[in-house]
Parts: sequence; C-alpha cells; structure tokens
Amino acid sequence: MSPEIIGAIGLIVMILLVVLRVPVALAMLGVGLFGFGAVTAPSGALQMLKDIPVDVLAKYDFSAIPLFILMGVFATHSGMAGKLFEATRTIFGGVRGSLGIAGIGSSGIFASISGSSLATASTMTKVALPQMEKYGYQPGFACGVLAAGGTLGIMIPPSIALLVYAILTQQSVGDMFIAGFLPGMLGMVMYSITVMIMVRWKPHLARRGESTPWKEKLVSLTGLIPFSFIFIVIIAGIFFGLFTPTEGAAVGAFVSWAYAFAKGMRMKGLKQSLIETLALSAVVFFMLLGAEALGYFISVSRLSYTLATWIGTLAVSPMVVLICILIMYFLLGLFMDALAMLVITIPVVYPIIVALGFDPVWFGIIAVLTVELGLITPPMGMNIFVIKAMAPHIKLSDMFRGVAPFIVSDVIRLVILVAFPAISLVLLT
Amino acid sequence: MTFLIKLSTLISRLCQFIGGISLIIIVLTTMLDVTARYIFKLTGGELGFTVKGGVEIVSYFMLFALLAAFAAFVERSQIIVDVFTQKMPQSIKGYLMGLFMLGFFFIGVVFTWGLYESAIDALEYGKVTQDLRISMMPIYAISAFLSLLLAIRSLIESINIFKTGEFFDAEETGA
Repeated sequence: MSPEIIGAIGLIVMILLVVLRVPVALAMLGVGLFGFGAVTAPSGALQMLKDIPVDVLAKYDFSAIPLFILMGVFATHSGMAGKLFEATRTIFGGVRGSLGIAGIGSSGIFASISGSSLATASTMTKVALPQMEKYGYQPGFACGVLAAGGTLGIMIPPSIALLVYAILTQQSVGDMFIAGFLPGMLGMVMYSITVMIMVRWKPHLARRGESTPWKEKLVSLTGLIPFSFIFIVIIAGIFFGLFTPTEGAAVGAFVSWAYAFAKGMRMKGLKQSLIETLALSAVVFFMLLGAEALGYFISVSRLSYTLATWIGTLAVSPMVVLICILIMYFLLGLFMDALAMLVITIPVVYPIIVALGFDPVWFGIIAVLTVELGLITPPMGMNIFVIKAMAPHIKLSDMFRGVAPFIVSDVIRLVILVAFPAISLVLLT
Repeated sequence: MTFLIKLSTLISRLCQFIGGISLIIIVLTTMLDVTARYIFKLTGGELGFTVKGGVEIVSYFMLFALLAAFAAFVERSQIIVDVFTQKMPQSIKGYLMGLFMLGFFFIGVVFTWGLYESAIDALEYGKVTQDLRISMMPIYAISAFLSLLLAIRSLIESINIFKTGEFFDAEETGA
C-alpha cells in the first residue's frame, strides 16, 4: 500500500474516531502513532512518541500560549471587565441599542487581553447580561450579542488561535497578530451596526438606554486605560521587536497580575488563576501533542504534497479550491471545537494553500474567522453553551435565534476579507 | 477504591502545585530577563545585567508545568465531539471514557519510558544544557516522574470509571 493511501485511510479513521467520542488529542496521537509506524517502522513510531514531550512541551515558542492564558485569567479575576462594561455603556449612552453596543465593544476590548473567546463570552455575560435584562433587552437577543462579542477573542490580538496557527505554520507571531487587528476591529464595528439595525427594525428587542452627558463620557474613558496600556505594550512590543511573543506574554501576565493585586486579588485568587491556567493549557497542549504526531504522519505519508500536486493539475481556479476549504471549515465548525479543527487540518491544508500561491498570513486570518463561526452556529456553538450555563433561565433556541443576525454579519465580513486581502495585510506593509 | 481516589486527588494537588510554581518561575524569569536587558541597554552597559539561560529556564519549566498540568487535569482537559452521540446511554459513555483513560495511561507510560532513557543517556554521556551548562539528567528525571504521575492518574481514573460509572462530563457541568 502506498504511503499516500495509508495517509488518506489514517485521516478517515481519525474523523471516525472523533465522531465516536474519542478525545480529539487521543485520536490524533493514536492515528499519528500507528500511521507513522505503518509508513516507516513500528520502532520508529515508538521513538517518535518518546520524543514528543520534549519536542513540543519544551519548545520556547509555545511558552507564549500558557502565559497569554494566564494574562487573560488574571484580567478576569481583577474585575477589569466590570469597569470596562461600565465605561463603554457610558460612552454609548443615549444611542438606541447602547447596552448591546457596549456589550460588543467591551467584549472586543476584553478579548484583546484574554485571547480566548470562551473566557470573553463567560466574563462579559457575568457582567453585562444582568444589566441588559434589567434594561428590557429581549433575553435571547442579549445572549446573541454577548455570544457574538465573545468570538472577537479569537481574532483580536493576542489571540491563542492565531498564535497556534503561526507556530504550526512557522509564520511570524507578530505578523499574525498585526494581520488580525483590522479584521477584528471590522468585526466589532459590523456587530455594533448589526445591533443598531436589529433594534431599529425590531424595537421590542431593546429599550433606548439612558443618555449620558459628554463630561461623563469623557471621564469614563479612564475605564479603558488598563486594557489599552496592556494591549499597546504587548502588541507594539512584539511588532517592533522589543519582545519575543513569549516575553510579551510574560510582561502582559505580570502587568495583569500587578493590576489584579492592586485591586485586591491575594493568595486565593492567585492560586485559582494558576489552576485555571494549567487546566486550560492542558486542553490546548494535549491537542498540540496530537497535532505534532499527526503532522509527522502526514509528512512521511506525503499526503499533503500529493494532494497539492493533484489539485494543481485540476482545471479549477485556486479561488474555487480556497472556497471549498472554507466551506469544509464551516461544516466542521458546526460540530467541532475551533482550535481542534485548526490543529487537525493545518498539516494537510497549509501545504495546499502555499502551493496555490495564497498568502499564508491572510489565509490564517480567514481560516480563523471561518472556524470562529462555529462558536456561535448550532448545534455546537460553544459560546452559546457557555452563556447557557450561566443563564439557565433563557432557552437555548432563543439564544440561537438571537445570534442569527451576527452569523449573517460574520459571513459578510468573511466575504469582504476574502475579496480584499489588503484589509488583513495592509498593516504589515 | 477510596485509597485510590485519595491517591489520585493527592497526585492532582501535587501536580497543581508543581505546575503553579513553574508558571510563576517562568513569568518572573522572563520579566527579570526583559527588565535587565533594557536597563543594560539604556545605561550603555553601566547598570544592569543579562540573565544567562533565560530561554532554557523558560523552556524546561514549561515542560514541567505542562506535564504537571496533564497529570492534574487529564480527565477534564479533553475535547470530545458529542454531537453524534448525545443520545448514547451514560453507561456506554462512561465505559468509553474508561477506555480512553487507558489510552492516556499508555501515553504516560511511553513518555516515562522515553524520558527515563534520556535521563540515563544524559547521565552516561554527561549531556548538559547549552547555555547554563547544567546536567540534563535531573530535567529528564523530573519530566519522567511527572509523566509517571500522568500514567498513574489516568489508570486510577480509568479504574474508577469502570467501577463506579461516574466520569467527568463537560456537557453536564457546562464547562
């Protein structure tokens, strides 16, 4: 049997295992191990598995991931989110849908620190949902706003998904972060416009918020200072080469820790933050171990190379192939975790994208945006599930109905980003 | 069974402690490295110092932190696609989870084996780290120990699931 056939069978088996409830990391590790053994030799596969812990877990580039997670956890524990929501609520006071826009705005800004969509959605729900319900927001719509706002965490830098993509494809982490900035901002603006359109079209969705005087709006800007400070230090530091991504993440974690300490977080909070960080890091790194094993297997099977060569001989334009890949991501996103989807598919898809001549940084942005859709689309909209866990009194069906306009907004954003790669790449040039 | 559960909890707490301390060391080392570097640059080399082996310290403590995290949270740090098996009886889900934990037991054993061999090699051939020139043996030995804890906890969790049928279900908890 040719290595390519073994590679293809391996991928099919892995998908079947995942569908049959096998943990994604275990499925990737198992298929990677047995596939590698089948293509090379069983002893080679065993040696690969023995070497993987040091190869992956002691890789300096990867150390940015737990540190960014730690920074987000400290930010969550420091109570920054409450101040942030209050500030954005005051700034948008008087605008119809002001609380919704504040929810989107504060989610976007919080995402810039947390790097995680689920953390953003859960934190902002805690802070904003009671206020939105109090001010007469239809509960399903309020949850939709917060679920959509939470997805901004996957795009606005520093994003864990962009970081993982950069490491897996050996792109510059700084470039990926900078490239994600404008698409993330575009998402924030388009979500806000969606809120305004929806409340104008269906006024029962939200009452007009109290207007706030200009002086109060200006004063409330101070609530944005801690976030702006951390964001600028990290992103500017990484982009201008002052820090490596790991150093930027450590500085961010330290500053967030100092802020949380100043706001009253002590030993108990520190311990809790470290435990949360370890638990979340374990999720990500189990999958990265699996991705490494699968990557070795795909590499020795020459599957990606053969696929890329075959696609090159087809009489279809590269754009058609790209759209097919994005549709595949969208469909996988309906039932699979965003990060899992990236680590599983990148070893196969990335060489094809490069062979077709697409910019790998731009592809990273649109791929991450497409997998981001999976966070709010049924049946596996993880952001919705997180919010449901925190607001059990609101029906899941109402939440999915509430988030539907934002899915439309995301699809429009995706089309814009595919049509105009410059939006992602302009800051890099 | 009670003894095994207590042992599992104890291992988890020990690993949380090791992982937490490792994370703090990583943050502080990197901060010190960055601060010292900029003081050194700003004063033209008159003040400050450079932290030798900062990258190595971060890399190896990251290895400890993550292996400890694996051992501490192996049963609750798995992403499972549940959409096609939602209606599957809990007992079958539990049985499958017990089998998967045996998979992690196997992985822990292989990791331990590989790291133990590396530790022996490092001792035999005097392998040292590149910058700090310290022996690689204790680094591999600690990693092997943490991998062994991963194997032990996975096995205990597996036995527990087969015995009691109870397992961590992210969907149930909303985690």
